[in-house]
Amino acid sequence: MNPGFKCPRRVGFLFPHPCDRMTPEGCPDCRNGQIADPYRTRLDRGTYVDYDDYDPAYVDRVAGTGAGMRFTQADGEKLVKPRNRFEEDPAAS
Amino acid sequence: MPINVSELTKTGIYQTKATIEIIARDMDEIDALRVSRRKQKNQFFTLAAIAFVAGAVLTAVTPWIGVPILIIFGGLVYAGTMAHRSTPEGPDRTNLVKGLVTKLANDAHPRAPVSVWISLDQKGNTISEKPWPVKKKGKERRATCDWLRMETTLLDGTELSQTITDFFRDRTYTNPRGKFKKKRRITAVVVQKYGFPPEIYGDPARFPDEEIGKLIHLPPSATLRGLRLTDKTLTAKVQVKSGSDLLQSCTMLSLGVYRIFNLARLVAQR
Repeated sequence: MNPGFKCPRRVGFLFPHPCDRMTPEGCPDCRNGQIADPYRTRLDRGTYVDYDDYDPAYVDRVAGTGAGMRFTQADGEKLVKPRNRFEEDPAAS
Repeated sequence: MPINVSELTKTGIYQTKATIEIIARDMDEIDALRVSRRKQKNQFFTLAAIAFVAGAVLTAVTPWIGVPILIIFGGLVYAGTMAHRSTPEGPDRTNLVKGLVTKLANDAHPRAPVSVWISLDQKGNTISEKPWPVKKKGKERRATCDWLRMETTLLDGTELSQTITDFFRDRTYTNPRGKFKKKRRITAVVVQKYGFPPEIYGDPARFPDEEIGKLIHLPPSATLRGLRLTDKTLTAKVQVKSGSDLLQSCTMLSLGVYRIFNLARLVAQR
């Protein structure tokens, strides 16, 4: 365990969020740091292949904008705003 | 805290507000209890059968030994019946809850409290009961059973609640050889409600209804029966005809909903 270590990878099943492990060793998501983007490369989503990608033509139809429709690392970090919610809340069980 | 066994066996209901880890452990405990009660029941009935044979034989030869053995036989049958009655039912339900919380662990804080209410009742509340004239002594009963309510908060601040209701169709009849037969068909209805933070996901309600449903993929035995979006909530309803597809249906529905949310978020950011 490295106290200063901050994992740069995205994890998550439904949506991307930063990994909060202190070391990649023994990590089931990145398999000891071998997988660069565990969120994107998960294989347990059944028929949802390319879960993280959207067909630009479809996006154009739905939202009227199709360019650059892909999450970035920064997107994953911004998403999880209540990261410390339960640590900070004394009433949380 | 260990599960309340007497309450569980009496009412068939398990409810708690605890972490994912504790709920998964409790489901394992219920499964272990089920196995141990079944084993007990089998042991009592095996001993009862031995006591009956021994008692019947000995009663004819030495009644002062045979009769007490027959009394013991009665006691063993009673103990076996009690063990059978106190066996928690619904192994498929505890397995499903375990599967759901395992998936939740990927996107919820390990210490986030999850509220769970599970009913292991297999009888349900009768909706209708009528003769089924297709077969001899045929009867058809329709019943409903709300058996799961689950609520938690995910890491993105979304409040997720999920319910599952089983709809039973029980048919009983006597076959041409005079044997009593009972057949059950179960259709489950899963309702998932997501209270999402609009500051993250923008306004997915502005997407055309006929298009966003395409982002939800379900197993062949499951059908999307409703998808309602407001500025803060998404509610989805799925009917599942095969019990073996239930966990997969719940999971795939969640993935589909988040395909919508993730797209809405990307659109909102750009």
